[in-house]
Amino acid sequence: MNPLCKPWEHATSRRQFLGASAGALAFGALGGMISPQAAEAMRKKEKQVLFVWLDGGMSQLESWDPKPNTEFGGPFRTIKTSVPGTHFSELMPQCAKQAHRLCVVRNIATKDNAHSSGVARIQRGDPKNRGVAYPFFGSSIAKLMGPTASKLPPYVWVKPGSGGFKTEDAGFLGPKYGSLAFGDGKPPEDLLRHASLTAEEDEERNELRDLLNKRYTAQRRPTYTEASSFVFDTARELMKRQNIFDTSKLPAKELDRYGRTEIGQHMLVARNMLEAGVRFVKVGSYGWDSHGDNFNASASLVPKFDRAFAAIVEDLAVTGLLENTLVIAMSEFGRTPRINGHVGRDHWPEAWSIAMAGCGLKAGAVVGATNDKGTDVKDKGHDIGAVFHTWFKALGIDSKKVEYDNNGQPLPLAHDEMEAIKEALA
Amino acid sequence: MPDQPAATFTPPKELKAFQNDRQLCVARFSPCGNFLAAGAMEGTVRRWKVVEKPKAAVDVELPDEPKKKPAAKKAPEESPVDLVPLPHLTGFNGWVQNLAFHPKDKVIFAADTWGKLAALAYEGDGPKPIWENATAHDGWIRRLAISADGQHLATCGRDQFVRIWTTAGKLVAEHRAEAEVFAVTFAPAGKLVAFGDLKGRVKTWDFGTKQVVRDFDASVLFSLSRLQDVCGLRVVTFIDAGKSLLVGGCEPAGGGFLEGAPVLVKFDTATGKKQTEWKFGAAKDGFVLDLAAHPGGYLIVVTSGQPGSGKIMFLRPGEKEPFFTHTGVANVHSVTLHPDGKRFAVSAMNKASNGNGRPKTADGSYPGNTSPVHLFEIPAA
Repeated sequence: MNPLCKPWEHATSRRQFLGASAGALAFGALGGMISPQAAEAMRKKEKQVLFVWLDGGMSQLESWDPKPNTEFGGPFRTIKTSVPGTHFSELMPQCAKQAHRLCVVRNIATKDNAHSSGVARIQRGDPKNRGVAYPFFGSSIAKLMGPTASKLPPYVWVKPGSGGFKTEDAGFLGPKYGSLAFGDGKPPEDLLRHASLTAEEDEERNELRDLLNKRYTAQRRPTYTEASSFVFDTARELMKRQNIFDTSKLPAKELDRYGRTEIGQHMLVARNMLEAGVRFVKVGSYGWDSHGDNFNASASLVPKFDRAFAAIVEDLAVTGLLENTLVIAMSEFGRTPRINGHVGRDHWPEAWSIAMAGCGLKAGAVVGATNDKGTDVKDKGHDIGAVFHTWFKALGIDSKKVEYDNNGQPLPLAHDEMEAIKEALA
Repeated sequence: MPDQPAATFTPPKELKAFQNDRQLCVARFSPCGNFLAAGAMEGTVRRWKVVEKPKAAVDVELPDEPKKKPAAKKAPEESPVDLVPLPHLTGFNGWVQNLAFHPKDKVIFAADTWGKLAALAYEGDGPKPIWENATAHDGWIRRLAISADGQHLATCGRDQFVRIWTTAGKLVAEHRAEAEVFAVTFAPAGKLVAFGDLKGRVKTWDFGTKQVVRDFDASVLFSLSRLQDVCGLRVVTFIDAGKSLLVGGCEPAGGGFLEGAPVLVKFDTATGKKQTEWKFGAAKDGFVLDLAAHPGGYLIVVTSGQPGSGKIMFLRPGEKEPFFTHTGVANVHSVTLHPDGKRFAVSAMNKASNGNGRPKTADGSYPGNTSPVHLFEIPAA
């Protein structure tokens, strides 16, 4: 069984939501800092990130790097894209139309072929081991760039299943920089004022909460309670904007364009969040671990991603947000070229693809290549550390100079022996 | 071959596994019994001449064995049948997932995953297409069937269409289903076909009147797992002279690994009523991927599940359990019965076909998997 496969989860109540936050914060510790001047300079640019995580491993051969009519190429055709000479799988007709806005890196070569370790290892950038848990990219950006002027939470995760405050993402940065997760793309139940309460009554309740918080604060280290207040206050800012979560009033045509699927609806919520000013929005999708019947699985899954991802890239471009938004779509690894007896593909970190778009990146680029059968990267591949440097650089953060300060321990932002992928940068 | 009571049943014997250097989707004997063809995951049709070895030849190949010694029969036996490779039929793309032989003419029909349907002569060293249609479907043709009288072909595909063709390649009728169509078959006579879609919706359709005749609920073969529409349906076929309709596949427990038990459902063709549902094993056992009706009144049903899991089962449609199950072959993807009823062949998979990351081979190569063809003999009762 897939160790990451989890049982179906349920909607999160306000009590669970806050309870999880407070509990996690009580055991955490706040970590490093960068200079206030540097942070302020970054915030002025109001750069944002959309991070689409396809959990389990999307097949590069059925998406960004098809190898038709080869031993491991599978049953599908390829299609032309808006970039002459570049082809995607036929399962991605909408992304093909957006190729001129994308930057696809086809020579990713990473080290971990297990979900249990690979998911975190990839999202933490797999730096050199220094005895600390590095933050996920979202937590890193929450720390380095903070909320935008909107004061909305800096790191939000729209995902299937349960929501809550996911402090484990933050690593040594401390729980304040965890992700605020919205299960099934919905806000926590009853965080907003109940219809039976007047505004005055609600205000009285909040005053009571503040009073209790102060008592709580008096008995604990300020960093913990500061984190708790930060999470609650930014979450309340988001809750005031219920329209972010409500996609039901959108025109049918728009809903269809994103797809009336889980990932389609979640991507619409993500678009709303980016437009509202959330710094880092992660969209999670589960069920990509196609060890069995990979090709029928891809025929079902990939077009749903394709529709939703292409729609948000197009919308961000049309509204001008793409210029300042780094867009990423990836998994923890790709899938084996070899087709197993269950007509599936297994885990393959050796040669796979990541798709990106937006600020600081070269548009319409295809970086690197795999060999004819897709079994190896040509020349030198890029590990996730190089990808992290690329992302930081695209966001205007010099990851070769800026460091975390983990209570006096200077730590590089990304693998210190790797460099940004120059061909991907604008 | 007469029907065999379970108590006296002698299990089939594997004669030989014929190795291939590629994976196969399907294997079929020609109606004359002299050829075996297989659709490969490389855009070719592989062919073999079925050669019966004279008994004397068997003895000649065992020169170290004393001829008079009865123990010679206990030594590894040479297969009395050989499959002699012939040049591949080319011109296809993606995978050739479906084959059908004309019942009388020396013609084979093949369909690939890029939408091509073609008719080819299957004898000779370098046969050329008799006709071909590169856009018979928009993409993956999932199933190809030929009518018993050899007049029509039926195809279905990812483009949601069921199409009926003459065997000369002319489109006769088409029907757009509600979703991707995974299987199609002809009734033994008349203009009735049955097809099944992604969500386990099975219908009979008269291509003469172009009307849907009846709906059959095989939704047990579908599940929505997270984002994935998991289709378990793979096989639709008539039995009992068309009185019953069998629908086979997998009852999916989830996507990803795609665990689920092989399932076969029998319906009454006239009423659409479900008569029997068989479940063959555990979640790892996967799909009923193919079946063949033996003239002795039983079905040869094959399954493929998690890598290494595969079954060959003999099942009487009136009984609850298979009366014979063989698990010695990994991932059985297709079965074909020789026209003499005494032999059958399955296309399967090499052992240890899965694994994360790069397998460590001594020379650093990255070998693909292969599909041996296992030839079995059905002993006389």
